[in-house]
Amino acid sequence: MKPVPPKAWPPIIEDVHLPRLIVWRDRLLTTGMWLLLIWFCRHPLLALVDFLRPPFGQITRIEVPSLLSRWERIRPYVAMVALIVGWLSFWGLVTLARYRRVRRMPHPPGLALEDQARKAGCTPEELTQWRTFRVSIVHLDEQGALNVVAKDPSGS
Amino acid sequence: MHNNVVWYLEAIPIFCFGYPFVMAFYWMFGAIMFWYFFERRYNKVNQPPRLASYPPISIIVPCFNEGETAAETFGALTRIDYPDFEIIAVNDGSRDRTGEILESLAQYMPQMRVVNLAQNQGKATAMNIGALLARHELLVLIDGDALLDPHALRWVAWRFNVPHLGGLTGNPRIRNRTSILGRLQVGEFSSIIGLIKRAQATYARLFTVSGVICAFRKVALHDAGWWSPHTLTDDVDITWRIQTAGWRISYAANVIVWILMPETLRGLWRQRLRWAEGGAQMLIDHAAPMVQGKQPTLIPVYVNVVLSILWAYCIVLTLAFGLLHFLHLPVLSQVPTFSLIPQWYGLTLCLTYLLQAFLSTSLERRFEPGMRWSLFWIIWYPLAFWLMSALTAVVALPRALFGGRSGRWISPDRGLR
Repeated sequence: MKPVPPKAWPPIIEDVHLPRLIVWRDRLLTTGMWLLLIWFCRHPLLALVDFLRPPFGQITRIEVPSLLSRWERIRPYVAMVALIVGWLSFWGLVTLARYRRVRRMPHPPGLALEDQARKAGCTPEELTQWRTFRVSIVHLDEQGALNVVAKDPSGS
Repeated sequence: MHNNVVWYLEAIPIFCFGYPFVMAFYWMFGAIMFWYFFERRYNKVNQPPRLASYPPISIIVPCFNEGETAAETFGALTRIDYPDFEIIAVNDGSRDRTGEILESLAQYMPQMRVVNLAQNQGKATAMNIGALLARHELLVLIDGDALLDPHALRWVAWRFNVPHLGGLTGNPRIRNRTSILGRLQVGEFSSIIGLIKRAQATYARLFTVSGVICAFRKVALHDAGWWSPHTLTDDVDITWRIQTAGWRISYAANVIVWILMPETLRGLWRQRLRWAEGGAQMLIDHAAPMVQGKQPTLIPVYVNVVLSILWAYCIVLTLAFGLLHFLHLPVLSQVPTFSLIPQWYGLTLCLTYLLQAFLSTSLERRFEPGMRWSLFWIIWYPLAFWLMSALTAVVALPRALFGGRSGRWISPDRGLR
């Protein structure tokens, strides 16, 4: 079998055939949900429209529940948001400063082959050899040690 | 009723509204900061910055019963634009023709090696073996059904130019968007997951990498004790252990992979339940290090997970009592009940979520033109997905506390294709 690169990129799948009924059901239900949301928000929306009409900046035609009482309701939560956003701003600046400071530092050395071999339960030479196999079969013993054999007798 | 109990009961609705409301602004503000400090300076995805030298990279693809998708997954890897890389396909004792297919694919891909595990060992062990047999220090891991962007490795190399970075998580994008569930997840991955990852990267501590696309230094994996086979979500577990070992993990929005997601409710439920259970397992496993103060900067992320589970229980409880109230069944007067029709608080939360979705699609549209269209479907999210998230969290916690602890492959629902 050959590798099959996707014909189009990005490889988005949206042309699968669905029954027309389902497609329209989804669209209508979703539109209905938006209309329901608008209905629930009708008072503030009408107030906004009134606010934007002359006399500009005043709500004259619509009776809206007191904005002050709503502000009082949400004020403790807004205070909490301010607190947590302040906290995140501080840490964001710390992150940025740290990023700039460490950018020019030397990179850590890679993991030593001996450590990798120890984890694999073999010698570094064995591990190096196993890494040359194009196709291999891996056996694990009870201690988690690897034993790797080339599937193709010719090895690499 | 005792005063304290009444106080707790009265606090439940405050918490049910306050937690998602406050956190929504936290995610939004954190994402804006991340964009301002880092992301806005990035080139386009297909124009990665030039480096003086390119470190060699090993791509590890653990596979279990991937016969159906392997040719496409590895086909996408033939388009990778990077000077020095190898591909290691780890066939974890698949029961289908995966091994045979991988071996035939390797004949056409000189940089590919196939590692067949004699017996099925689970994803964590498959990744450990792939990492040990990899020649290079930098490892990129993708799932067996994910398509890696051709420029992803150049972005990975560029991000690892920072020495304290032990790992990074990429940006998974949804391929299948035929049904309403698929389209919803397109919005979800940017509006919730993308924003959260950006905000957590601003704070420099992540809850989890995306297992479907992540990259690590081998030395960081070694310091963390490698992947554990005793956890359900290996990505959450390794993220916490790498950070506890003192390494940083960051978010790389330009490292893109295209993934398939469930498009049935059953498939989605199973996936989310596994994620929630993995999160709960992490809470249990890392409770002691948190209490002992071993990594104090991780405490806020840990506390957030605790609060999110607590929120799930509160929501399910109040909705259940709300239902009883709606059916005119007897409910104690002090017990909080949510109306089934959204009132002021519910609407405020809904509008806050829509603002969050609008912001995220603005940040994400450079990765995918036409993202704003996903906003049409996002209206379902607060209703359907929040409820599902709450229910999965409620079910997951007892499973994590009393269930088994073996990581296993989950054959995913890959949507309509």
